[in-house]
Amino acid sequence: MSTPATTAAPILDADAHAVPTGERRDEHGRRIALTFDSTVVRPIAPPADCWCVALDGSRHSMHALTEAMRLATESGVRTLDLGTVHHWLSLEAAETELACRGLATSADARALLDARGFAWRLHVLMGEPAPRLVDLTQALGSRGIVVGARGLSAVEGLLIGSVAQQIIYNARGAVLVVRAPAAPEEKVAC
Amino acid sequence: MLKVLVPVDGSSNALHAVHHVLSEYQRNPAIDIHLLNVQPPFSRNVTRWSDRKTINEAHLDASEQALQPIRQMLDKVCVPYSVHLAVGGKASSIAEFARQLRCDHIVIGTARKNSLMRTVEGSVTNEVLELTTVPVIAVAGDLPSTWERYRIQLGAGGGLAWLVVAALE
Repeated sequence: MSTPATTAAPILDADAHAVPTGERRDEHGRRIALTFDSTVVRPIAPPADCWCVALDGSRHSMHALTEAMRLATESGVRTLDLGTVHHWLSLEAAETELACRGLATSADARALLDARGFAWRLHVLMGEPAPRLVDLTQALGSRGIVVGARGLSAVEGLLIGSVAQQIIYNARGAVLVVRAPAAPEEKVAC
Repeated sequence: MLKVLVPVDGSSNALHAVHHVLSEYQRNPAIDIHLLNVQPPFSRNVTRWSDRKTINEAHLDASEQALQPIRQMLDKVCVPYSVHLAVGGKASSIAEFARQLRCDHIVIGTARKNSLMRTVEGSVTNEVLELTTVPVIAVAGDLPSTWERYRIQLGAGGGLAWLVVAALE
């Protein structure tokens, strides 16, 4: 999974009225997890039959989503779980910001899934990306996690921190790592 | 039909990868399974004094031994598969076969090591991820023992302690 995109996608009109179908709070009453279900495509398959795609709004995660859609189509289950993890927010900020950030980060992915006739469940979480995503898929009993990767070497992964690598070695099940071909500008930036 | 390459080396981690492929096969039998065993090349000292036929037989024997438990597992449930043998570097051979066979995925069993252990000891999974853009399904195996988890830190700590003692003397 790559570094989150710095520019968030605009919130769609439909998202402004999106109502979470599930919510979890910590001991202080702070919202730490939200779930949204697709309304365009129904029915939604049970989580045990679905892959869970880690989203951060980057092109790497969109590439991972495309591969997950292909895998889901092959197995005849046209539903995907989407997981997006955000930095810790204060009690007050989490009430509105968590949903806004989760919906904005996943806007492109949800639009693509709706257009291709896929049902989805969006899980918006707060905290460290790798452990939260591993916990999520374990709680859901997913078929596995799908994550985009930048193709860092072992040393780069250790120094910069690769979410994909952390997920691989902490997940209980399968982790599909999808590496998008490097864009020319990324090579220059490195 | 999904074409998957499953590298097997006779380790318990490889069994985890095959278990995953089997569970996917039960959901959707339209999977073309290719098992790949990679044998390390013999050193020059060996190849200089042995003929090619003997070397090939030795590689085949070692490969058959590594593949046997996996073959038995797949034959038992009547799952079709193809077998390939390569001699060379593990990661580069896996990446090359995935490219040649035009596989959709590589399903690889991997040791559950932390970042430091993977960097110091090396990780075939990490190398494969670096070498190929074919999507890789990594299936983590068993947890390493406490000794395996902390031996690098203990080694580094012991080395530092020895240096401090040597400096004080």
